[in-house]
Amino acid sequence: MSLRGLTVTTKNAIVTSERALLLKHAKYIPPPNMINEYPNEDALRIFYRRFIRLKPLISQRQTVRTTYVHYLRYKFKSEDYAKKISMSAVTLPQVTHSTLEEVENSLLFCLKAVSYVKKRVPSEEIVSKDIRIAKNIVKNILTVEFEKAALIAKNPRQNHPILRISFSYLSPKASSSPLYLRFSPFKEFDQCLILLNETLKTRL
Amino acid sequence: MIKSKPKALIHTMEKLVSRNTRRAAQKPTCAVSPVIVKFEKWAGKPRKLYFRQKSKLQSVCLQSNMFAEILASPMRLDKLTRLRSPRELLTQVKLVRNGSENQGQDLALNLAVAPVKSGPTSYVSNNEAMLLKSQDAFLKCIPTSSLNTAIRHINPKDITQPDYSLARALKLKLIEEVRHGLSTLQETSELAVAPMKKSNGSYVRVISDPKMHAKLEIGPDEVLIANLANINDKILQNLFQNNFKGFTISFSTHKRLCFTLYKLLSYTG
Repeated sequence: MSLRGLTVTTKNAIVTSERALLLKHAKYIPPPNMINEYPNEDALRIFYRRFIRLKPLISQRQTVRTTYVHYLRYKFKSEDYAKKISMSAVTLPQVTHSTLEEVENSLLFCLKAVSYVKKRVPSEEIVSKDIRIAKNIVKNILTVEFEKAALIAKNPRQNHPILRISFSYLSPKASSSPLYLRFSPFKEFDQCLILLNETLKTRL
Repeated sequence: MIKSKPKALIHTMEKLVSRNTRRAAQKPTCAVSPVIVKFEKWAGKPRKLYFRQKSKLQSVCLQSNMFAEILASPMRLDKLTRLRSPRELLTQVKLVRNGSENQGQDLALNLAVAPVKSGPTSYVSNNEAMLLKSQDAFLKCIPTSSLNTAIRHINPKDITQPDYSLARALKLKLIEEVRHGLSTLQETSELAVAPMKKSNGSYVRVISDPKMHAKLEIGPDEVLIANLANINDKILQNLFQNNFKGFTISFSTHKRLCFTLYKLLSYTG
């Protein structure tokens, strides 16, 4: 068992009894002005790589890491986000944000969730609270995704089209059907997530 | 008879075993062992990116964002659907003592709009259709911890059947909370001024406009517009008769009212 207060400092990190604080961030942070300098497809690949690199920082548990990678793969490869919004009961302003900008903001959000600010620096309390909120949101998204994946695995023929393709569980008419009523917690969660994405210009 | 080994072979084996022919261990090319350099990889501690000062990553403020606070609330199990959801999107059910002791039915289920910490708790979906569907099975909502207690064995017969269904009781409670919150705001004229710049989800504008189709809408200034036109309550609608522009509420000062408003709107649809 490690002793409290004992730290091991190396070139790459400071390891305390509670956490390993990484000092080199270059491979996680996107290069500056990336959206204008790279073609869209390359920029998306660069973002994807950085998201995947965050895997060991998201959680120590293998199940959570696998859920994270599956969720990323689904978001990058097959999700139709515009359809998801159109199926939900939320009305958003007509102004559309570029996908790359949204992906970059999402990466910054995830980076925030796995960061740690030195104690007693100015406005440390506010920043730490923000980090805690971001971390909880990421954790909750992964919990919901894990539950969705479990339901899909139980009955893929019925649940996969509803939860991943048509998003019919999000529709306001869904409350009239007993099949969709089962998914009402997912509906509430995803609706709130769409609203959060709109206010933060992210695509979580 | 076993033949002895040929002489030549004996010599080679001796040479191999002897000290003179033993290979010297290769010197490592790196100055410090990778076990030390990459200590964080095998230390078994949660890894974090360390910042010595506030950086670009911390620029967006999440504390004043209503949706961020809702989604970051701790996950709880919904008793009706058996799925997990953030606490602020569910309704808390408490088993409380009933005031009147008639025929031994001294317990009742109480729905709490604002989460309360004390006592055994369970959570149900904040959805009218779901609660209506399972209104006969209200015993499903009893907190499991109160059933498992060794102090008193609780029989389902000890729990009073509610006069209203849980669905109706919750709707009335939510409407009452919103009505009370809005009328207090009107009396104290504590309404927030509409933000000039982008509000980042920290303001809610409450209106009652039957022409507007959506219940929840994000305006161009990123203010959440909550339309209460579908809520059939005379006293609540009267609040909007003299106030066509509606109420603008700041989330940071009236967190509970904003949460209740959001719950009321998501409850009915």
